[in-house]
Amino acid sequence: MMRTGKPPVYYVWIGSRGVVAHAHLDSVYNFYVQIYGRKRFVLFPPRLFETLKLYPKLHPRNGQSQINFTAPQADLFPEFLTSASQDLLQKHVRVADLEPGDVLILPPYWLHYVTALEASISVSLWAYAEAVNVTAAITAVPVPFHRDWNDAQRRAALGYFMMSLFEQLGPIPHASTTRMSPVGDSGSTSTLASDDQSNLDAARARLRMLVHDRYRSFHALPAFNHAPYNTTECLVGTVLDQLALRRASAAVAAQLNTLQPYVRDIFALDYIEELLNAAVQPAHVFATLLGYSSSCMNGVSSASA
Amino acid sequence: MRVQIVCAVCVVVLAWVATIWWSGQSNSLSRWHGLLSGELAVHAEVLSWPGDPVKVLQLLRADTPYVLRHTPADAWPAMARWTPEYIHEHILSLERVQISHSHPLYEYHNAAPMGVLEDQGDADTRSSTASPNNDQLRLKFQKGSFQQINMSSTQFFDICLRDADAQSAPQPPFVYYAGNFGAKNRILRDVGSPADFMMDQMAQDAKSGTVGVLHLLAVGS
Repeated sequence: MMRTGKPPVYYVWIGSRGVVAHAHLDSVYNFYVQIYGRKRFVLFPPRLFETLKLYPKLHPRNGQSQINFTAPQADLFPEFLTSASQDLLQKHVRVADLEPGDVLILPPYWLHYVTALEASISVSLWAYAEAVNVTAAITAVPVPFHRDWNDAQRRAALGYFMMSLFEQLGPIPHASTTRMSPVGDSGSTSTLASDDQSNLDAARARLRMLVHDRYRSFHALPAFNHAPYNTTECLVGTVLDQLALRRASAAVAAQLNTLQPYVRDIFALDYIEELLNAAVQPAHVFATLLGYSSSCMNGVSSASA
Repeated sequence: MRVQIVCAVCVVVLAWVATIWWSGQSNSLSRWHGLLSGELAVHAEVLSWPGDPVKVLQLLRADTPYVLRHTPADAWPAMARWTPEYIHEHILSLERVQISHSHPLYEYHNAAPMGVLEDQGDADTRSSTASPNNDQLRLKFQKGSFQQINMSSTQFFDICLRDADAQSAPQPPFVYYAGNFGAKNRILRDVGSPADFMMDQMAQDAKSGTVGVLHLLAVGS
C-alpha cells in the first residue's frame, strides 16, 4: 500500500487559539503529530460525503463541505438538520482531541474539521493514497468524442457516457439509492421488470441524487441556470458511436471499481466534471449536469441502445 | 362566522406545525453543535504505540482514525525543541500568514478553480473573478475578512500567544501559518527533515512493503 511513486510531504501548522480549518478531505494518509498546544479534530468517514455536500471538483473549494458548520443552511440543505441526518452523523462521526506528543493516524478521504483549542504547533506527514493512481489511469482512457459532432450530438453523447458509466459502477451496498430526489423521481424503482432494469434504475437514481446533492446550491443562481436537454438529445437512439462510448466507460468503471464505494462515486463525479470541462464550455459544466439530470433521467435508459 | 372559525383553526394548526418544526430544527442544531464540541460524539480510539510495524499497518488498513500515544516520535528532537520561543528565535519571517480580525476560519483554495475560466493571478483572485456565485460564497464564508500577508515571526507570535480571554481591548486577531519552513532552514536541519528521514527509511526497507512513514514513528523502537 501507498506505493504511489510520489514522495511523502510534510507541513508545519502554527496558529492562534480558536482558528478553524473548515471540513475538507485529502487524498493522503495523514500522520498528524501534535507538538505544542491542543487541537480538536472532528472526523467524518467517506460514507458521510452525501450528508456533508462536497463542493464540485471545479469549484475553488473542491474537497470541502458546502455546509456552514456554524449555521447550517436550512434553505439550501434542509435535510441536513433532520433527525435522520443527525442520527447518521452521530453514529459515524469521530472526535480526536490531540495533546502534545499525540499522533493522529487519519485515513485518506476522511473529512476533518479542525479547531485549535490553544495556540498550537503541529506537523503533518502525508503519504499519497493509492487512489491517486486511479485518477491517472482514468484520465488516460481515450474518450471517443468526435470533433465534427455538433453541440446536440456532443451533449447526447455526454449524457449517454455518464449514464453508462454509472450503470457499470453498480450500486453501493446499503446506500441510499432509493432516497427520493427533491426534484422528483418519475423513474422510480417500483415497477422493475428484471434485475437488469433494477440495476439501471438504481444507477440512474444514484447519479441523479449525486448530481442534485452536489450542484443544487448553484441551481438558483442565474449563471448556473441549467440547460435542459431536448427530447432528441435524451434519446439514446440518437447517440453516435455508442459502442466506443460504452467501451470507454467500461474501462473507466473498471478502474473506479477498485476504490471503496463512496470514494469511488466522488471520483466518478469529479471525472465527469473534468470530462465536461473539456467537452463543453467551462461555464456550462454544472448546467449540463443539471440539465441532463432533470431532463433525461425520467425513464430513459442507455440500456435500450 | 364559520369562515372565522376555520381561519382560527388554520392559524392554530399552522402555529402548532411551526412550533413542532422549529423545535425539531432547534433540537437538531443542538445535536450538531454537540457533535462539533465533542460532547455528543464518539471519540477516536486512543492506543499506545503497538511497537510492531505490522500491527501499525493493520491499523492503517482498518480505515479508521486512531490517536497513538507514547510513540517513538516522542524522541524526534522537534517534539521538545519546537516551542513558540524557539521558532521565533530561529525563523525571522513567515510567508502567507492568514490573518483575520473578525472570524477564525482558515481557508484554502484549489489551485485550479473553475477549470480554465481564468488563469491569471493567485487562487484568491481567481475565485473572486471566475466564479459567478462569488457573492454567495462571500456571504457564506465571509471570505473578504481575511488577509494573507508576510509577517515577522516576532509579530506573528506576539499575536498568536496573546491571551484572547484577557479583558484588555483590542482583542488579538486570528493568525494561521501553514508551510514547510523551507528545506534549507537551519531549524529543520537541527531536528532532521521528516521527509528526508522517511525517504531514507523507505529506501532501506524497500522489500518489506512497510510504509515508510511509519518509520518516523518507529525510530528508536
